[in-house]
Amino acid sequence: MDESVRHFIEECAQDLVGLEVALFFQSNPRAFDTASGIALRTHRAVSDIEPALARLSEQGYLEVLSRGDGRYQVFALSPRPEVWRVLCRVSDAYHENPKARKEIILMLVQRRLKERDAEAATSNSSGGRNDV
Amino acid sequence: MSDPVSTGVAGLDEILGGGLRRGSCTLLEGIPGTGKTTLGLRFLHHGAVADGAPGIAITFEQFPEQMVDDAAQFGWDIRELEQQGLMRIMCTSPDVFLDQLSEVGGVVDRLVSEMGAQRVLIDSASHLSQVGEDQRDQRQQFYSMINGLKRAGLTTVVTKELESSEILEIPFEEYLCDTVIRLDNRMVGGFRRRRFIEIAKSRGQAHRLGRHGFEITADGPVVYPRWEPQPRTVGDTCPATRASTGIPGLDRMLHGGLISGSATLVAGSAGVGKTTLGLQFICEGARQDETGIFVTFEESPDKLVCQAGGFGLELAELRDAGKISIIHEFPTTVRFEKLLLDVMAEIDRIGAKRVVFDSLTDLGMAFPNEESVREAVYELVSMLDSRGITSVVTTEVPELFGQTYVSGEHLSIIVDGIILMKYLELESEIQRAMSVLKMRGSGHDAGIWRYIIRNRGIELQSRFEGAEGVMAGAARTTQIALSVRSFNEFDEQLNAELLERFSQIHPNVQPVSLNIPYNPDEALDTVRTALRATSTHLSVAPMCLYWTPEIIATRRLREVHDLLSDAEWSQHIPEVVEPACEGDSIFGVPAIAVCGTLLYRRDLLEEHGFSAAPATWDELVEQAKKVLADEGRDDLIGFQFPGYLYEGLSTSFLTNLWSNGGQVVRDDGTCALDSEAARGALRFMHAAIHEHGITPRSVTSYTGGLEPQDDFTEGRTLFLYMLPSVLQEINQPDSPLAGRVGIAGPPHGPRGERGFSFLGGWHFGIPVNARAPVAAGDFIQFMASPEVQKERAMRGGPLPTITSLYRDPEVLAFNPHYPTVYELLCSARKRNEIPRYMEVSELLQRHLHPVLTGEREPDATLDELVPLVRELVER
Repeated sequence: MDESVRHFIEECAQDLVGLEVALFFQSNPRAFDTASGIALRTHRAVSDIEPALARLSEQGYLEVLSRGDGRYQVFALSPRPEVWRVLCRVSDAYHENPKARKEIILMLVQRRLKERDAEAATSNSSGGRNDV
Repeated sequence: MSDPVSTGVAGLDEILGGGLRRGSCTLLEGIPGTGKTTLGLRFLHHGAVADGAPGIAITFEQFPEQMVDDAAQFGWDIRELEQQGLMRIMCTSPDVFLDQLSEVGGVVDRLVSEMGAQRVLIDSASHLSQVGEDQRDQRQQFYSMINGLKRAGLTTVVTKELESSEILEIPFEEYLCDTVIRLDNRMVGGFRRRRFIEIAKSRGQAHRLGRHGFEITADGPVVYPRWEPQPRTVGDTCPATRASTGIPGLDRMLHGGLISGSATLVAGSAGVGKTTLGLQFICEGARQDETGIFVTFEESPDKLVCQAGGFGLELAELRDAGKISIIHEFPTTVRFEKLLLDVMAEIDRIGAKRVVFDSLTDLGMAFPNEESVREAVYELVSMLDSRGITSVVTTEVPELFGQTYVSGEHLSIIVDGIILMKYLELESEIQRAMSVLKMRGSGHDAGIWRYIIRNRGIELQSRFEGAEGVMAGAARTTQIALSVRSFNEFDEQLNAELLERFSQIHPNVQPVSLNIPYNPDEALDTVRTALRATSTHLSVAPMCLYWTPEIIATRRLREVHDLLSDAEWSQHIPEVVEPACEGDSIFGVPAIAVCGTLLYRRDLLEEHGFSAAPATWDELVEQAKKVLADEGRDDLIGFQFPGYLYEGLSTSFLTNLWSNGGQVVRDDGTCALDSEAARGALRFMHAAIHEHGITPRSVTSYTGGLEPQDDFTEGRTLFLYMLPSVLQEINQPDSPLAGRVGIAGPPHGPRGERGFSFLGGWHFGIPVNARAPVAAGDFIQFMASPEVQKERAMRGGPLPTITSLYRDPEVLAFNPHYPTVYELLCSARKRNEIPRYMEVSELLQRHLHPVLTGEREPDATLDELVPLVRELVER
């Protein structure tokens, strides 16, 4: 798997929703919508969509436009060429290469498991302190 | 007004009056699956490709990638256009879009300015309803959006979903948009769906009203504009020219053919020959350099070519030569509007003058109801009319038999002509009948004609006569009258039997014997009067040989060549046939032959020492005087001949003239009556009565014409110059004179070398105004047949016209004199060869009769007569 893809999955997408949002913008590069609009199109909860949009924006993959006198934010794909190149590689790997797709999913699952373990450990240590 | 913006959809610009107004907003509405998005995308794609006008698609629901994929099916490369900056497909939420549209420097503003966008597709307005709280609010939002788009100078198409094809409440968007286009997609014919398009509104722009055909083809959406009916022009040309149908009989019914530029409906049951008629019509046109188009729904082109070949029609060759074009459509998939455009294009391409549509019944499957069919036919006829096309449109009537309703769709008032083809049951046979029910702007034969389909296609045979209810499919026979002339009482009886027999063969015909005068001159008057009438009972016109040419010249007789085959015509004595001919046409069928013969009492001559009939007139006088003197009977007459005031008197004179070496007209055309031969002939006739005492003066005053015959058959006359039918009567077994009478040719005069008889006879003709011409033809065939002529000859009837009967042993057994008569017939002189014979005969009768009565002298009379005859014959 291409290193840029691995890096995107690890650092930007981070979870399945992040990957879905990224792929949505790769497929529809002229989309510009609110978090709720994108949630509607990807059939995800707004609460799940918002962190993903935030990560992708922080990483420079999406642009955030504050509109309506700051009443709402609109997300659109960054026009930077390198963003488009990376997203195209991610799309190719996920859609065209079964082995890479499996690897991507495994990465995301393992990341999720690590997070759960970390969450559990945090919970146990704080619980232990309480119990102690 | 600026140039309209082309939609890029073939046909749509046409019905829009050129395209969409620049900077306007168009609502494109329809139920799901009608092609709104596709049509909208085409609008953008065409602008980008054809005009370099960038366009933006805003989609609230459908993903851009899906739209790109959909567009790719039509070969529209949206990705490429996006890369070229000519197109953008953006998806967003309705509220975001509306907000951005109104915001200065918003995404829409930015995009429009970056791209220089000129066209926008918003898909769809239905989602904008999510924004407003109520309809008033929604309307406000929509109105604002339109203004925003107009402010940006964009030509906009907004799609909108309808819940149903039937609009119960007009959406507010329709009021706000400049143009409203409705797309529809509905069931037609039970199993098929058809797309339609309608311009419901077009502010400030003339457009085509009504529903037009709409299809999404492999190349994208296509609109088939309906033909805008225009005032008909058929019949504007005066006199109207005709287009032959290729069926001679039908052309005659139509008085020359279909009127050029007219539309004719050919209605008939299945298999009755409608397609064949169409094929004959189209091929005939092509032969006359009138190219044509055959539109077929039923038969494939190959099958059609094969079918035409079976009738000897060179459809394949004419098609290969580019003179005929075949358009084939399947009735279940045909789109009428498209077909009409295709036909129009083909008409223009090949310069067609004729079109056949076969058939409306098949085409009807493409329409939901009869009203639609009617409208379609109206458009079809109007289109064909606009191009001056002569057309035949076939339609099937469901009834094989029985009452026929030509057009449930009331097509009859749309077309110019209607030809009905039917099966019918008559005389336990299935027959075919054709009639012209209507031919706008032209007269036509109102009769019902029997026709057959043979290896040359449709052939009209004969008119149905004596039958009612033919076109209702179950004909009932009725009696019709035929006139037949009899020569005497005996002939009348014989004829009565023949007529009865004819009626048995033709139960629907009842011949009646009309009282036509024996005197041919009076018969001529009767026939002339009948021919002048609008319609006559005299369906069989008897025509005396010498005036047949005069009747032909009136142009009131039908051509009868087809009544007999060439072989049958050749059976008749050519000299008898000839007077009925004019050029290659024949107007009379010979039925009776006639010639002048000298009948004599062989028994009396032999008894008084004469072994043979007289060879000269002088010998006749000598024999008559001696027998009269020896017999000493007061009632015995020496010699009788036709001498009263009728054409027979002319005949008597001519016989004497010819037999004395004379003639009326010389070979150089000059009058030859100022001759010694003529003087001798007239002097002899005068002397027979007034000098020799062998001929009674009563020959000049008979009224019925039969008195000399009666005198002879009753044994009171020694010599009789008359028709041989007298002898036939005498040959009857019960006649007291049987075997005692001889027959010879006319004697000759001192200046002649032999006697000459006159050729006579009767033809049967059919007046053009005959009420029963077909039955008349049947009757003439019957009476002229060898069988009937033989029977008449063997029963003492008139002389036959069939040569072989003069050699037939059975006939000769009864008529041993036939060889003599046949020789006389073949050598007889023809009166009709004398120029203006009828008038010459009038002069002869008027001047010679006083000579016979003793009021005038022969020579002086002839001196007066000669210049008069000269003026006639030399004129």
